[in-house]
Amino acid sequence: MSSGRELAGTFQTPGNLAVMRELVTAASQHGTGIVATGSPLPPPEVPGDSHRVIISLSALEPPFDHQVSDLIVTAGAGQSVDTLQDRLRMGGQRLAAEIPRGLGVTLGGAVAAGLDGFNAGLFGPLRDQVLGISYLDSLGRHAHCGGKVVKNVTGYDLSRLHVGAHGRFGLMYEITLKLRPLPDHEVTVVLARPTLSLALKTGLALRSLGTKISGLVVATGAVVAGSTVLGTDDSDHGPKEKFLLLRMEGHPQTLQRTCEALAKRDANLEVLDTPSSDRLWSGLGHWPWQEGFRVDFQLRPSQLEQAMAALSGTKLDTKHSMIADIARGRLQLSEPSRVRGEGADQRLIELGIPDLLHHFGATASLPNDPEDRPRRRDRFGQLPVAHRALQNRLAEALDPSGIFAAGRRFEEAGA
Amino acid sequence: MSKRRSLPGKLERRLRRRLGQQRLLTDVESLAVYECDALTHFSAMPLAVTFPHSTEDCVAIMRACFDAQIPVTPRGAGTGLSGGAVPPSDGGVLIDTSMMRSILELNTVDRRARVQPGLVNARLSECVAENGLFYAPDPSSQSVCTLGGNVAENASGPHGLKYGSTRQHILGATIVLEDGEIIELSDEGDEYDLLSLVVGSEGTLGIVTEIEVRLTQKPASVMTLLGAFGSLAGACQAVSDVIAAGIEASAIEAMDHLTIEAVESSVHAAGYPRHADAVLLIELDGNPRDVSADAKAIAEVFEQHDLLSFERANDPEQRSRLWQGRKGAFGAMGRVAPNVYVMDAVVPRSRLQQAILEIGAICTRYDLRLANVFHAGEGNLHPNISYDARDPDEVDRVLKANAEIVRACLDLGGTLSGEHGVGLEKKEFMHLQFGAPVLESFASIRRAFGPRSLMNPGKLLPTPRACTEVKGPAKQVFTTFEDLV
Repeated sequence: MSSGRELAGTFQTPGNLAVMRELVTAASQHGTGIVATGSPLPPPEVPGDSHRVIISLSALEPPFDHQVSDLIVTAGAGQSVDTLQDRLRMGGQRLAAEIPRGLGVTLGGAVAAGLDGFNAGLFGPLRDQVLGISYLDSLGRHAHCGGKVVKNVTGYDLSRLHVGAHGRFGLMYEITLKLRPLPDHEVTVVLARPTLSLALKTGLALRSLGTKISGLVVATGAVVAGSTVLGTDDSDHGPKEKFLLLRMEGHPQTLQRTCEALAKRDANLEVLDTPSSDRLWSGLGHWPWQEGFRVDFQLRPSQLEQAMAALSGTKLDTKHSMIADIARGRLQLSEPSRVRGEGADQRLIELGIPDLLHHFGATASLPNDPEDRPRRRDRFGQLPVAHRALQNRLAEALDPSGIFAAGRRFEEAGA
Repeated sequence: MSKRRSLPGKLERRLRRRLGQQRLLTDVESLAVYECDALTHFSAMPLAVTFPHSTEDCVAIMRACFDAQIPVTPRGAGTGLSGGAVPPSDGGVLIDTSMMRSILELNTVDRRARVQPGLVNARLSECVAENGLFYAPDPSSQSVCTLGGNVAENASGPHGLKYGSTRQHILGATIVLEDGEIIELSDEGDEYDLLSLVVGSEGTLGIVTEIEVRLTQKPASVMTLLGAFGSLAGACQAVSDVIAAGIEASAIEAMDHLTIEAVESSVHAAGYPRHADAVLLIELDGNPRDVSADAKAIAEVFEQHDLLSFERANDPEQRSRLWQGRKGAFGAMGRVAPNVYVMDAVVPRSRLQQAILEIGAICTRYDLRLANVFHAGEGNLHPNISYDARDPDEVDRVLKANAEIVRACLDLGGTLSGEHGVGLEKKEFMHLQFGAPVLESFASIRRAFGPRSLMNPGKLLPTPRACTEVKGPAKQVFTTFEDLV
């Protein structure tokens, strides 16, 4: 085994947990930073990573324990989410979190990044599905937090803390999740509206429909034009129209009746067939991964209209897209330009985004280049000093060696 | 036993200046009321009880106590069942939030409200009912328990099966740390999820002074089902089969024969069949057609498991009658013995049947009267042991049985607590569930929030002495805790 110092700048693919543990222990002893990845290939170089060891979980034999009658699964962090979903489907179940398919996302990556999707308004965010996590701590010790039961209030909720923490609190290798049964039936309807305001108002009203709504979105711009479902040239809808997309799940008869009731009130309603529906939601989910400039706003549903109108009044790129998740009050703005660093900061200012955030008292995930994230957060000052200090104290407390992805999420002394 | 301190004069003067005569209690007669929560097994008298009106009051109290190095224990309605609101045995200042009970902001469009922690759980639902909304977490004590207490314990109730625990309904919180620092936590920021640490932290990280809650739309229809079974084992298997069939009920509650007898002999009588060995109370809500289809599917599952009778209730009055027995079950146990120990543990739902059998055997071995009322849909067991606290031998047997039941549930792959929390009651068992790395992390988290550990000390984390006291099949011997707290 290499010493911790020799590990810096290397890419490691341990074949079992014992070897992975040795790597973490060696890194810990020499203060060598660790970045975890699910990919079998080294990721693009990030400044600062030459001082770190990148550990890939791709060669670990992934555990898989699907307790069908408990609606629980325990799986390896390095396991592909697509593969996992396919295996669960055989048991009539699914991960509730709608993690985009076809991108090679691993379970550990999804948890580290806190990914979820348009059905989070119905089932809650990914952190609500995570029941337990096994990880190596900064001394290389095996730690098991949470449990394998659906209800648990024993001790502090470390499992949720790992979700979205970008690997800052340990090297996750096994994750237990709550599952949902596959829906009996699912249907997507598309409602075209002449204005953004009408589309959003209709969406807010539809929340009280009384059916299980697993997606309620208004999409505008290039994401519509680029969709083979909504934006093709032979679409019945003109490109200027705003699309409200409603996905529901439940018993087939219930959904049929609901669609009939909606159609009586809305002549423009279109019910999508299953392949089109799958393509549509998959396309929306993939959109954020397009290379480009992207900001995710966390607003309130009632603020979406004003925020989208304000952004539309700025000099947005002609190929911009906006996707508003009405159920959760999320707004995703993306432009195709690959601005980075100072350029991205300037773009944020040009679009008036800091003012917008201030006006709404809202927060946003800013363009997420790893090298810029801490500096940008500092510059745009989203966290009060005391809060940021607490976040850093926590990171130091749980990772005294400072080896886990330090400085990737927040600016940290010495990272 | 630690020697009880007295309230330092300087601290009393400082608190009195801020709170006046009415909102600071220091006389022994008044303090006696605050010696314990609903788990009366643990008690200690506070040095003083304070009644803040606002976050600013809490900051002032916390700063004063921080300067005097006096520990602080938050308290809601005192309905907790793990000793979480009991002051430290050598005294401390108790912050009672019952005068912080306002709804500060209500936004029905965005379905959220900002409230003070002393607001009673059920009161919030009453206030938003006319908007077609409700606050989903429904602990059995919801008519008196406070939202601040719910946050501290990550409380839930029968409908947690569908709607989840308190954490899933908290969008933000204002928390005051031990040194008086105010931290605003939000569900919506791009930051570490401190809110998930604070919810369920049992008042050990700070005091929550404002809470932003999610409100839920009332379902279009609700149906309550009552299945009476010839055996508890059959009822448990029916629960596993309903879940495995993918039927998503909003609540699945189970009661055994002794509970049925106690309920039916009490003012809470609900018409449960007395000859049944167990009843399952299931609630479905949502679209009326979905509800009807699910009810039919459940009836088919039940029929395969020693079903004696089956009843459906659609109208509110009938439903309320069926729930009356479940909600009054703990009170009805008073008919069996002067005291009842309400335990709390969780097992995987597929192991319910085995867990119930093992718990029954343990209580038989200790010659104790056991009644089971539990959230079957979540595997959350509440073995209720009826006893007489005046009988030291019986108390000793209750505690020994409790320890064995905890171990049995852990051996079945379960956890120590599903909703009551660790508090004083279960801290000695923590090392049975968690290894040293996680327990050390808990201690580190506590230090990160409050280096002096003045917030509700003695709760949640095992003490060094306790770690060596508990014997049994520990998964990992915990030996490195001495320097951590």
